[in-house]
Amino acid sequence: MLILGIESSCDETAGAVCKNGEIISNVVLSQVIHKQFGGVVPEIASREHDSQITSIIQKTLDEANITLSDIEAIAVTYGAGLMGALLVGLNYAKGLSIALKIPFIGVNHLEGHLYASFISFPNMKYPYLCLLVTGGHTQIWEVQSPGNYVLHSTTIDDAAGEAFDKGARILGLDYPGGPEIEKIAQNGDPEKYNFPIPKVKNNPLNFSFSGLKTALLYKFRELSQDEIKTNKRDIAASYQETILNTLLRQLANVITLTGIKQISIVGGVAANKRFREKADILRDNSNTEIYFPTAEYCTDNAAMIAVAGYEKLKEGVYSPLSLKANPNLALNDGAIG
Amino acid sequence: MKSGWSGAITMDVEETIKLGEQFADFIERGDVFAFVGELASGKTTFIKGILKGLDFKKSVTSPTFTLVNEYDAKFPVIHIDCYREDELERWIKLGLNDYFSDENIVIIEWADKMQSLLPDNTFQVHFSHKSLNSREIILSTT
Repeated sequence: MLILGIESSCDETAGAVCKNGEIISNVVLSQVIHKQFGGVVPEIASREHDSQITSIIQKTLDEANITLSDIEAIAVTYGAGLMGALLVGLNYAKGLSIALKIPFIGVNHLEGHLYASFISFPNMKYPYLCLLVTGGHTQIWEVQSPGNYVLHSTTIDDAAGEAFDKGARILGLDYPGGPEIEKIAQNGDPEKYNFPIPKVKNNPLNFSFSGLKTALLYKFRELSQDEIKTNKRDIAASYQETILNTLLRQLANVITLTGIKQISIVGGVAANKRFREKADILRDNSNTEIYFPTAEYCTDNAAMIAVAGYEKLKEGVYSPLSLKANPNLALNDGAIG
Repeated sequence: MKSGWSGAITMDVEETIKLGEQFADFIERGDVFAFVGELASGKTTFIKGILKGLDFKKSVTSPTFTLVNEYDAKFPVIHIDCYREDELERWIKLGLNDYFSDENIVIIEWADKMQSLLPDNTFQVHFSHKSLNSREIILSTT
């Protein structure tokens, strides 16, 4: 089955085609490319995604070496995200669905992330745990079966990726901050400075990174310029270590709680090498399997939407044409925090 | 916004949340708030308090990466963050103007980056560090 995936929930437009769950094309119009296009697309009043989506979908089909008439179903993000952005993708998908007389299925953006591991590891089995560590989210989900998810842990303020980025800003490093902190932390002492591991009162499984950012800021202010210069690597290493330890400690807690041995780790932070080393130790100690999808499926993309759609279509789940875009769409109603 | 709220100094995160809850009593539909202040000066924490004051029970997280969070509180609340995206043209194309309506409360973090796009009657709220954990939050008259 050939499925076209469309994702336009935030500031990137993306298309992908999957054939029986395998990705055969994946196109993301990133902000960088957008800037190159900037000079050629003069209509300022036009909607961000509206001016891009037709060419993105065409490129997606070209890369898959197919035409629109080959597509058998469409999967599209219908929330959460920016209303104006979601509407472009959703209405485009509905239009194609009517014109081509094929079904479409609405996918929750977060749901897409949960399925990203299937792209690289199609043999993964239910149930599994998914630690989602992006700039916008830090959550641990239990995926019981397609459509059945339990949220065990979520950040109550900033996401881990944001903690890296804002930490980098405090340290005077470039954007994006995660790779910059990782780079200078390589030669630093992760034990030199003591940053508090953030605790959350109401739900001890939750994450909180806002206080850590503040602790870094005050540490930075407390030190002299000379001390900062000499110890910047150690500060970065200690800060990074605290974020990573927090993530893995909570993951270990959820593994113990659920007894689930298959784990998927998705998101930009998963690319951090120190994180991978430490995750390997957790894997060995807890006798689990940990899957890291390749980097291109870790950030916002349509491949994960297409694959999530495939998993749901296999179960016979479709969406009606009356499906509405929902900016604050939740994956389950029991959101905690 | 109803008159009578001018600001305060808070001593810790809990007090900042409590102040946000009190602030919520002064909010009216259609209000737009520009929150200005450096990193870790309490903007998101204060918004957590506001949402608590508006009977919103679910979690309120930073929209730095998601750009816009919407909450179905007592009034619809739109939580915008310009930290990552300061290209004004992109904000217009992403539908920024759709959010300014008589129905919504709009709260914008790092609003100094988009002052020129904000409605004339926008309320300015300034956040600053006083000492460790202490924050000054004031409504500016300009």
